[in-house]
Amino acid sequence: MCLCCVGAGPQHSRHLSSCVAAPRYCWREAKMSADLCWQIIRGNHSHLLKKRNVKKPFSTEPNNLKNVNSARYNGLCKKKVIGIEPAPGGKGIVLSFKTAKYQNKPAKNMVKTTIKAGPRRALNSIRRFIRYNHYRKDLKMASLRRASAIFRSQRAQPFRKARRRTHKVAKKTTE
Amino acid sequence: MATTCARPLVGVHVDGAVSGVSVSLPAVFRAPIRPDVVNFVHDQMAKNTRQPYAVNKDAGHQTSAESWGTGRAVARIPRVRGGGTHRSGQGAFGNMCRGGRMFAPTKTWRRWHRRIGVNQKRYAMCSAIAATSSPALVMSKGHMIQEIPEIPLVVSDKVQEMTKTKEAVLMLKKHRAWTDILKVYKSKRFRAGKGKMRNRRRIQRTGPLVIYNKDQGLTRAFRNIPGVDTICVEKLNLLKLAPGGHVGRFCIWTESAFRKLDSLYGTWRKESRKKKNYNLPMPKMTNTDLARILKSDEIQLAIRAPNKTVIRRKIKKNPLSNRHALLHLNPFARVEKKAAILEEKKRIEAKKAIETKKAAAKK
Repeated sequence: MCLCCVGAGPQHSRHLSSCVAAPRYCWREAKMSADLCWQIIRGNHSHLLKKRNVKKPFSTEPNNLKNVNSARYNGLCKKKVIGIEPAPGGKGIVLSFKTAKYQNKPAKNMVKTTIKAGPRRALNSIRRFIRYNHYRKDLKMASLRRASAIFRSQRAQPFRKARRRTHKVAKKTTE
Repeated sequence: MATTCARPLVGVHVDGAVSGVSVSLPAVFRAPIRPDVVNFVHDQMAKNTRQPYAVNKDAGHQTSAESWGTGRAVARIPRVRGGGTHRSGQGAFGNMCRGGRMFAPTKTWRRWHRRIGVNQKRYAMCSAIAATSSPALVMSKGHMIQEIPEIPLVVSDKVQEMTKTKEAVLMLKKHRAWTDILKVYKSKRFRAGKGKMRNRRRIQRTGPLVIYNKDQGLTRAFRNIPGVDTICVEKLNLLKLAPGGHVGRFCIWTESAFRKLDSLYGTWRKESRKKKNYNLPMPKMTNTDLARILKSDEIQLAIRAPNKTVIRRKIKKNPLSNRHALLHLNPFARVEKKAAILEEKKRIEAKKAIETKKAAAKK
């Protein structure tokens, strides 16, 4: 039995019969997996940010919801990835995600949709996108929080009157 | 229907669009990726271009100094003989002396170069090539490949005939590789440190590596574009494919170079034609997709059900002050307490009765 066919599923069964003598390395299935990629990257990559007195390193790659260097939140390794960024106009957010197809075609792989609606609708649509597509539901809270933070920053700032500092003159006591 | 392993097809790109031609992916790209091997071999290889440095062998010894011995109220270090000059009587020869020889003077016969086994070199090479086919690894190295049509990027052989830099730039722009070069432009800066005075003044990022089969002008077209390196398939260099010892450089292959890889490195079924008795390295783990393995039937049937009960820390409540805790321990306490309450009530009423009687008797 072909060593690589563990966990391959029914469509691989035809291959099983033709794969003659084990151990023969069948490299169709031997793609770059997310786990292998993470093991290579986790110690050192161009987006890694380590600073003094900071235990857990940060990571600046684009589709990382928490900007944290971890296997779960990494925006490069995984097959399914979510990114939430502020929309260029200053209002709304851009939700980007990786499609299941075209994993080796970076231009077609990422889909970006702008959500211009208000915060409630936007958060809802993100939540639904994740839930009904079963798309990385471990990222649900992180993506909602990130979107909330972006919306909070886009809110109109309350008007603050410019304060002038006046000197307090000492009262002279009259006799 | 092919019964052999189907190889994924890689489209050849012309002028930024996919031409009809596709090449099946050479087996090298599925070789095991071993960043540790690549790093080691890169370290060793990088030592091979070193030029020796050493201190002059006579330095610090061109004196006839001798120690004055004891009894002269000075340290016993050898001192320069004679008189009439500042130098006379000064310490000499020691590494602590001014004008003395250094500790362990550097020699030219230091072992500057390293030999690396051929198989190890080839293993590192295969790993490095395999890593260039993973968009995640190439992006992690920092290359701007977000807009590129495909990885590995294979380009038509027309590129090999380019002679003008203008054509080369246009080709890179059409294939969306120009953003990587813009990054190189932005990264041009002066080196920090003494290297500035040692003819290593300027530094910049590395950009894409163009790999060709036959140079019909290509090297001259690309040589003035910052960050771009060009290399022939037959002479692939690990120092160029994994700069810094890190895998995942952005590579642009010409079609004939791409096609040559199978004969250069072999496929597992067939040996390499160009390297005697060489075949691709065998991986330690054929299927590295951990998630898939864990979900597979073979493993799911063997493991037990997950234990999802969460046992939380229980705070102990004091039965002397908490009624429910007391009742949990001693259910009869309810009866006792009730009896006590009734008893107390009775006594209060009895007392009241006595007092009213007393008050009435007084009147």
